[in-house]
Amino acid sequence: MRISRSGLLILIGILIPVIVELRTLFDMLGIEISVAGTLLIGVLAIGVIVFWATLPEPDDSDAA
Amino acid sequence: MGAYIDHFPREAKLIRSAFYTSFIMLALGGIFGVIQTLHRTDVVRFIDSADYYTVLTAHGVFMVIAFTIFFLVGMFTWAVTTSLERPLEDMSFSWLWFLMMTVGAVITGVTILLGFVESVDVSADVLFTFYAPLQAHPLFYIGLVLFVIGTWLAGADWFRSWWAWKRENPDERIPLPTFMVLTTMIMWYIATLAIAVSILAFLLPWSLGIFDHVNPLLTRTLFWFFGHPIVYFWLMPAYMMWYLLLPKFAGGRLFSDPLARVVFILFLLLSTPVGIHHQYMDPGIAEGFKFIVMTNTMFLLLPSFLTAFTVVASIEHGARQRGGDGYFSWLKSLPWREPAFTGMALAGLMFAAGGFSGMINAGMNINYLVHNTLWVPGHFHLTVGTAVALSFMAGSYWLIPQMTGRRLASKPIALLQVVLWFVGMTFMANSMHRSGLIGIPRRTAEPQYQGFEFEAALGSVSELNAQLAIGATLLFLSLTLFLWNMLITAFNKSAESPGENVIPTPLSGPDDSPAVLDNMKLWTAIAVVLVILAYTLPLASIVSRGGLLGRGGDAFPVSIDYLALFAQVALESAAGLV
Ligand code: HEM
Ligand SMILES: [Cu+2]
Repeated sequence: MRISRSGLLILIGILIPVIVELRTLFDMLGIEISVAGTLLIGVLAIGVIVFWATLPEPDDSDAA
Repeated sequence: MGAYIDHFPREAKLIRSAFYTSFIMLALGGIFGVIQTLHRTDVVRFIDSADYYTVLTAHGVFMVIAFTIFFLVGMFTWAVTTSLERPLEDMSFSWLWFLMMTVGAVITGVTILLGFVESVDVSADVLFTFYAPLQAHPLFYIGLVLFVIGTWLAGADWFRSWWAWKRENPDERIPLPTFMVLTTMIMWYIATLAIAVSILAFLLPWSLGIFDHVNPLLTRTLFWFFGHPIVYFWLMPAYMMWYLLLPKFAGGRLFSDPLARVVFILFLLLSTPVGIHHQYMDPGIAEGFKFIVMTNTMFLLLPSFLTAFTVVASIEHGARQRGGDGYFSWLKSLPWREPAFTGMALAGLMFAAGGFSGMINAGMNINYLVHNTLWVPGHFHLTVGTAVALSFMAGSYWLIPQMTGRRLASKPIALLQVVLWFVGMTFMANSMHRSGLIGIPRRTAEPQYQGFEFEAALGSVSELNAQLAIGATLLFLSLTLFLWNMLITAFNKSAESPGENVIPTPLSGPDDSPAVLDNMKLWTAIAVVLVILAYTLPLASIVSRGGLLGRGGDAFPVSIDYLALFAQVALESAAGLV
């Protein structure tokens, strides 16, 4: 794990508002994203974060 | 030093009772909240639309009158006793005010709920703003009066503690937590005067049948005289938690005690003379007054910005004490695992968003765009519904163990709960703001008029509704987790030391600030003068134009008039046909 489980939970928790609000913002810029599209982006983004979080810690001893 | 309960067992019992009562109110408010959301979005309907206002009144009153205030009297008692390091002067007096508040809340609550019982002719479908022409059963007002007098006595109790302490410590500065409580209570005394006049002089006699009619604009204005400061009455205890507890949880100390004092004084001075900003759309109040009030309102941003600065600086200091460094990586050193910390931090973040939509509300010209639309509930679910409610829930994860000596039942569930509230509120508030922008009204069971379609700027109205309903469901789930956790904690067998009940001393202490900040008499006097300046002319013109008791007309329910009108039109057209 790269971050703690509570850290992961909070990261996802904060990501959701960002996605929801970005969708509203993009609409004002004339870029319309559908609900399904937003869901897809959300799931992908969360997936990437979960994937990154569960990667093994970089091994510091290698660097030396 | 130990937990609060070890020092002040008698006070802990009182505070616990206040907290538990507030949780019951929160539960009731939450149930009605989800019912009305699912109803107005047409997702699940099992109440009659005609009962919608009973539900909405219950939601509003249980949430923002009962839940918030019961919680904050507990908080304030904790703050005063902890910071003065002395027990309350007389416990039977303290129980008296608590009892009065409870009896008042029960009377008012039951009167509202009787609106569902058709066989009893008692109802109070007047919403939490309860101004004329909506009229409630007299018991509704009587309960409110008892409740408010209870809070007055509670304030007297805290002042009494302070006076006793001052006699023994004549040369010391008022400890910051007590200072916060006292300034907030002075504001509350000034604010509630108007509502006392409104109820005792107009609404109650009117509902008892002593007067035939009242001046609706006058009761509205008196309500909002009180209605703006009450939002700071909800908010100040949340600010207190952010100033006193957040830095502690972050492992640091409050950045500046003097700045905190300035903030509370600014709120005392500025929060009452701005109530008319809720009445930008009211005919009968001159535009000039509204403009002055708008200017005052914008000044209120200052103490909120000061708070944001001080609190974030204190948290950063805490993080650096814990070994955090870099421009942003110090964020990682914060105790995110702690639900009390995380909940309050998320609440503060949402408050920033609420502050932005509040600025829109405050602007006289753009207010016309959002007035009475769903935008407004969107705004205040971020402020009172999250900044305050989520801070209170998060604070409970620390305070309840302090008051009971019992271990919090589940920390992971508590963490999940605060994040879930944050996410649920994102969905709900985003949808409410967007719905408001396209003109969907608040306070209605049937937002969709026939023969007219709202045009959503993005997506569709049904999508907005679905988002609202999902948000409400998540919030309700979060609320259930909270209440469940509290219930198990209250009966938790495993006692565990909940940590020290200490508030760390600020980095820059009270001695760095001028002593005049502690001069309560001076600030009270200035606050009163500002209120007189702001309200004398508008009130005089409302009374001189509309009369103290109004000019009559027909009271609620207006629908009866329409029925009569219909009958007349039908008769006439029938006559025409013949
Ligand atoms: C379970 C979570 C909640 C849900 C689902 C919810 C839902 C709603 C909705 C949809 C409305 C607007 C109804 C309308 O105008 O037709 C509303 C109004 C309101 N809510 Fe909430 N809410 C929740 C929590 C809270 C909290 C925590 C507070 C404050 C502490 C609060 C205070 C209010 C107030 C004061 C109103 C205005 C009532 C009125 O217009 O008279 N709500 N709520
Ligand atoms: Cu206001």
